[in-house]
Amino acid sequence: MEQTKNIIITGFMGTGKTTVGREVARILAREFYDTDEIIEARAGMCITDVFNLHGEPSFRQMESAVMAELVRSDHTVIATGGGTLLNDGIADLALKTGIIFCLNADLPSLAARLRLSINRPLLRGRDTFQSLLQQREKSYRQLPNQIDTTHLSPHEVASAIIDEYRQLTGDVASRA
Amino acid sequence: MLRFLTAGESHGPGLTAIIEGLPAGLPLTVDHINPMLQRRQRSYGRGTRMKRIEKDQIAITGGVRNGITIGSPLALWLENRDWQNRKDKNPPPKRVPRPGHADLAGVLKYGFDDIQNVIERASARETAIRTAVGAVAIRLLAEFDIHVVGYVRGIGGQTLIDNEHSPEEIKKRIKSSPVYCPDPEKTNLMCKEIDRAREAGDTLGGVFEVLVDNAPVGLGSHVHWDRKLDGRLAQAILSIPSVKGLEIGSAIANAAHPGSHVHDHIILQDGRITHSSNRAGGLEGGITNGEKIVIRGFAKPISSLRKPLPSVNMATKAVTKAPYVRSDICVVPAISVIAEAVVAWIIADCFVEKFGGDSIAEINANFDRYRQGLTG
Repeated sequence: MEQTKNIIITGFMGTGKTTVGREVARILAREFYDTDEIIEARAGMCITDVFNLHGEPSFRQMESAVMAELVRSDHTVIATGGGTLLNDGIADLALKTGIIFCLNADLPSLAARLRLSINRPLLRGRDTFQSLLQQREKSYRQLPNQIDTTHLSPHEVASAIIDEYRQLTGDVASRA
Repeated sequence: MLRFLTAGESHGPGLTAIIEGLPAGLPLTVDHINPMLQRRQRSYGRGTRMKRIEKDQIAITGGVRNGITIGSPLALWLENRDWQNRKDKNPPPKRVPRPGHADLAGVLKYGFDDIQNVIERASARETAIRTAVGAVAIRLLAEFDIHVVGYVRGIGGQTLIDNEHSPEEIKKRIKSSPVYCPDPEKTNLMCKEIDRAREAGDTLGGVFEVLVDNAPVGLGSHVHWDRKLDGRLAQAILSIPSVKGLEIGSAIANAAHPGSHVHDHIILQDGRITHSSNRAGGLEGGITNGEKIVIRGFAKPISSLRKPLPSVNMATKAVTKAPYVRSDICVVPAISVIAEAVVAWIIADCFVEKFGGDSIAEINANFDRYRQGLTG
């Protein structure tokens, strides 16, 4: 029997990967995995502390390991961390086993959404935020299936992803 | 009669236990309970390599006054520190049951859509509060000089063939073993097994043993099947998640030998009637016979994420795999701690059953009279 592809949601922080991912999983009745959540559960501490105590390279290693394990499954929804798919090796792995959706939003929206959450190790101020976004923008734009979430609710984004997924795979079983 | 109930789920605010029937006059503080909880949490092979150890801390919220029990129900509360961070998260329902767990049967039994409803209570997290209950039992037994120790005999292919140490000696030695095995050489080999399994993305099961030292003859009974101590101990041990087998004394080895080689002789030693050996593991006919009680348990390896097992999505009927978020490689040392706790509870229950009273002083008087009767 053919394997149903994973739906992999990525994008800069604040674009709604986790929230949208949960919604997509709910609608399609699929298992949902958030790589940051899994890393936190395994490390026994929040991402900020992983960065502080073990450094970014260690974190990226854990991230690779988690993605490598998750893509062995199918019929799931995976929300990645912000930088996860910017590594070619992991991006290739993800492309082989899933359909990638890259969320984006304009800078003011992201800033507004992120003001509500302070646990972001790579953000030290608005300038850092802006420059990190600029740094990564080009790499994100190269990923397939871009969705602008600026003016959309999580449910609307989820619906857009599901519609696109059905068109790409002809998977009628994923009818909501 | 001693009895207890626990309540609480693995991702709820915390775990609760209420113990009823504890005699008054027993000195009891959180310091008698917390060390055992910490031993359960931190052994080599648990996913704690990068953990900032969040120590379980028990709170006593009833039954103790000025450090002594007052005969009223003892209430224990074990807070889940993670709860504040997680309580507003709204995860979608889980649909894929994990093989080897309560998931599938539990969901069908209770009519759930979300497997998480089963996982929450079936999770081994509940063993934390049962360990706390066992720690109270250990405190009680210590008043009568009865001691319980759980330790590890085997992890993966590495097994301790013989144990020649006394329970007291074992208790000391396992303190310096990250896998709670009393032999330093075996400990090293076991740690290497765990490292190998970690590299391979696999998990390990093993063998643990619980010894009860100095329990008096006469606990349990032969008169009815449900009063036989063997069965009560077996129920306690087999109720621990991952434990799938158990033997009392050297039962498995005995089964392969003729009777003439296997039974313990009754002898006279220094004017006392005793046994020449203890293959029976301290139990005969369902009653303690005065020898050391020996129970061995066998734990299966836990499911691992790196090799997800085939399963089916219950909502969509898609044939898929069940990945499983765990970082523990081997929990056998933790199980040895839980086993120590549950055995202590059963022994304490039987002890209070026989020598019952409302206070430690009263129980002591009953126990003394009985012991005098034994030697007379």
